[in-house]
Amino acid sequence: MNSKKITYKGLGIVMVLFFIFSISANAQWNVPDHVKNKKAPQDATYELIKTGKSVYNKKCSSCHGQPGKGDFLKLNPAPADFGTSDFQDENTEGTVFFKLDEGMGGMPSFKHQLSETDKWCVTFYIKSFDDNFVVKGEKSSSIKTNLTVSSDNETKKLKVKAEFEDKNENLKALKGADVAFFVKRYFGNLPIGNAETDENGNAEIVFPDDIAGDSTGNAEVIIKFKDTDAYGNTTVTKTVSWANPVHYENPLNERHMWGDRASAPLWLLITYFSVVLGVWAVILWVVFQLTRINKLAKK
Amino acid sequence: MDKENTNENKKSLNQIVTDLTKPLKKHYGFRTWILFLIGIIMLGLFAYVIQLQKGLGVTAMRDYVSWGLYIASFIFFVATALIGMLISSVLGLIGYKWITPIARIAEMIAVGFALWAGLVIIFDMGRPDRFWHLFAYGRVQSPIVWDVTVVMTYVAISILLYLLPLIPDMPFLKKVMTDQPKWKQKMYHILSFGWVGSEGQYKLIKKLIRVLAVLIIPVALAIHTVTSWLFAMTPRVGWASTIFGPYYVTGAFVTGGAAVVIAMFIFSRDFRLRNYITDFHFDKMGKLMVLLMLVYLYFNLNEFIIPGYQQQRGEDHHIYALFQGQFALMFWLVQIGGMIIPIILLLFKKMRKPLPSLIIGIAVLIGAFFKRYIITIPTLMHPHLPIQNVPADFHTYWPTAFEWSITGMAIAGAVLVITILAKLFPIMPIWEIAHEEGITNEEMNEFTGNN
Amino acid sequence: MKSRKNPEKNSDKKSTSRRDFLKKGLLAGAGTVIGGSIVGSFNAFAESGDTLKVLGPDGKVMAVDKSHLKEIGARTEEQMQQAGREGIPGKKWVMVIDLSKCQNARMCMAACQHAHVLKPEQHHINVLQMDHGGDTAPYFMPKPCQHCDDPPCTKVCPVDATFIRQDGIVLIDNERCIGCRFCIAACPYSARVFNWSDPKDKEKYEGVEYNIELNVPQKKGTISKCLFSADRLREGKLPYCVSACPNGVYWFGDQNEDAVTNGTSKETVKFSELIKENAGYTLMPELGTHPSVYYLPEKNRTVPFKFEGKTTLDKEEHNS
Repeated sequence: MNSKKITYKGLGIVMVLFFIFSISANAQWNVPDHVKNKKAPQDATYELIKTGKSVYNKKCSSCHGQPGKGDFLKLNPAPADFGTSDFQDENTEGTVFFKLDEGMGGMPSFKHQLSETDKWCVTFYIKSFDDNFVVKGEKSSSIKTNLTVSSDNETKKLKVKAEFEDKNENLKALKGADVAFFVKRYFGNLPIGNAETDENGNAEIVFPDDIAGDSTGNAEVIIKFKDTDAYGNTTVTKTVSWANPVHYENPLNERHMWGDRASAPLWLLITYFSVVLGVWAVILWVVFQLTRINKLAKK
Repeated sequence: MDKENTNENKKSLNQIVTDLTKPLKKHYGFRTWILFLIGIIMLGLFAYVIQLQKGLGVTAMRDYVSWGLYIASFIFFVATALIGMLISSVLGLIGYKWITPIARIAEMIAVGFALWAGLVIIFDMGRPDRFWHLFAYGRVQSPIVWDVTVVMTYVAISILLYLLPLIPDMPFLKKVMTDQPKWKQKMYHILSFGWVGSEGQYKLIKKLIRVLAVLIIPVALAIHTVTSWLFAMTPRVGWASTIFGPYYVTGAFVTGGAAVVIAMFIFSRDFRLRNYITDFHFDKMGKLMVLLMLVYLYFNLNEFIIPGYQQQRGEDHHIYALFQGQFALMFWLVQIGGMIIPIILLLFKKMRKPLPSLIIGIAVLIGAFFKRYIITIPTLMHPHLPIQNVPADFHTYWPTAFEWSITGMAIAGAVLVITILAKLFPIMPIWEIAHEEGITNEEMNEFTGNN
Repeated sequence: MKSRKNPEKNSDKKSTSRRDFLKKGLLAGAGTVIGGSIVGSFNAFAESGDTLKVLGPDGKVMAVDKSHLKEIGARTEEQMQQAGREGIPGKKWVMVIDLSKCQNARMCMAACQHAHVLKPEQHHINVLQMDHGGDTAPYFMPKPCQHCDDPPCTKVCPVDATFIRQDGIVLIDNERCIGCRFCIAACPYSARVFNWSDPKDKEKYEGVEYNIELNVPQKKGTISKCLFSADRLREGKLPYCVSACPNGVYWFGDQNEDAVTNGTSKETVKFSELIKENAGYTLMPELGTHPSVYYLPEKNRTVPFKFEGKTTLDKEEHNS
């Protein structure tokens, strides 16, 4: 009898412990020790980090934002900001990879969504914000570049000249660089073409004829290098008047059944008010006539 | 006219006045009845105060079934109120004499239910404190604005149509009710508007009644047609129907007709007026009910057989729920018990006697109430897109105790209005009954001392 | 059109009389320039003494003096009402939902409910599990308000509490709403929710200036609905749901610019091309509502349809 009681007690304690454990497991990561020391199958390189960055921007940034900027989504629990040293101190390469693999709560599992290489690339990118993280190889040194743009109204051509500064700080034509052309839109830039610079550093595209502009047909064109790692974020903008003018008419200027009270259809206003006024006129007439009863008494 | 005849008439007038004013003076059990009604109203008021504090969450309504018992009751109230127009106006203008003793009863029902219809719609509002927004920001495009307009107009005309035929009765009341409290006598005096029964006055009052009787016909049609449009104007399965206007109007006549039959029975028994509301009147009302219900049956047939035959997407679920599914029991009870069986029964003369008429009337009225429930709720349970990711109680609807109490308050309130009116003024027009008995205006004036 | 031009004008209405008085007096004595500058500097440290509770840019409730509203990027209720009812001129917002990408992650729902302070059962956007039966393919369908060009809901509203703006957004003004729920009955997309009882975090938002473009604070007895995140659009940001999606389901943009931007990849494409190339469609076109939300068919899915779970919330989930 006694021993049984003890067993029950023991079971009870185990159950309580298990319960506490399961609650805490719900609220936070449960990372097994062995993964903390797990290493990537290859060393991190700038190349791999770059791949990781593009994957990160597609799959992770919508919640986590850009590392170090604190622009992650306000969710509960909050997504980590990978730019913080708190995060970097707590999470090893292996931990990051594990979390990416498993997911938790609001964070989806990327086990089957991403390839093994991509997952490691993202891990490298995230860990690259750790000051102690070691990267093999050399970072391609970006050079100082310059873009100048000109336009030709007849041919609707946008011409861009790309140059770079040599060691003596002289501008020289930049050959064989991919240049991307965009039109500025409200939430982002709409690509309208790419061109490679020739030996004089010139590249040109014809402005497409199906771009919506403002009411006068103006549109702002943005020109950048495609390979920003190699040539930097040099950007040049130009407003052209070749876009199709969009004549925006405020739909609320017309009278509509769904419009506000000020834009009720005329026929409805006329019908409603004439009927209501007509009926109430008769009602008031009847009420008024009641006062005549007294007068008619004398006859 | 020889002397004997005049004497006989005078006696008869005396009889009429005594018969019709007696219930206004002393009434056995009146107080108990009023207390009973006030009890129900207090309970409903208590429920409503809680609803005001906690919000409409105390009802069973949720995001999908967002209109429930209140709106169903609102249609029922408007429907019942419509009978005033049919009996006192349409039948009166045609020239039917048998409606004389029941026309005022119909008008009392119209006033009581139309007044409370306006209140029921306020019970359903999430923010009743903002009722004034309807007047400050009203949009003429919204059927709710049309509905508010037309309900107020109908109440106004109904009150006038109740009040005007009362005026010639006031001298009788002034004469007979001398033993009553001062305020009552004063009220009778004011409401007589100086009536002495001159020829000019009779001419005027008849003209005014006739004008109102004509005016109320389009207004009454409008009130219920607009009520039906609250539903028919929405792109919803089971509501977006082109015959909803006439469907509602004919249904309303059935509802109000049943209410009048019940009121006729109660008044003829309780007010001891069996000599005025006779078997003949029940027989006539019974026949009228058969006609009205047949027309209503015809609209029902159209309303259900077309979507039932087509079986369009969405309609199929709705029709299934009504015919065989969740709402089948209520649907068939209402349709068979509240319409088809009453039609068959009322075809027999014996069934148009007072007591059977009363029982059938009650069945029709209860059926009519739940018919409004059938019209309102199932449609909301069948939206175009699936109901998902919401708690289980969003999928179902059955009114809570709060909703029943508040609806009970509305019904008791309407009955209370009718009771008070019946207690203050004769339930039949003395002067019109007298006219029918061949009593002249001069004789009446002689009686009231206005000669 | 008179509104919005001078938002600061309204914010210190209370101090105007004092300023006017000062201004006039100084004008009489000194020149206009000196008077203006003194009044300006005076106003800079004067507090109107009128404290308002407002939602800061990060969605936090804070109490600020009326004269400091502009510095923190907040506005008074009056200003927000005016701007909110007018909309953003020249814009016509449009959303494209790519059904082939939706994996039921529900990040959109979470972000939306968080931003608009909604209870778990209140959905401005709801990811539905669609199944037409037979051999047809089931799919997940995120369903926000369709922001129709011919909205049946604004048609029936008796008090202009729900209305369509010039940029195509159908908004709700819960300071105006009378709670008749006619719009719920009229909406074929079941896009509207009602505050049947006290809203979530009622105490926290008590007395906060109402932002019509966010519909916060929510109020008991009034309607709430998807607003296309009108507050974010004003700042040039994509809606809450759009930027929360991890799977690239949403595209959002201005139809007048003929461009939509993906909330996940931030890629911008031509709206007309996206719709044409993918056979985009709108929901229930037969109703003539002309939605501003387009759907791309559930073809070539990124992952096969897999539904695990339930479509009904448990009691515990919505009582929290």
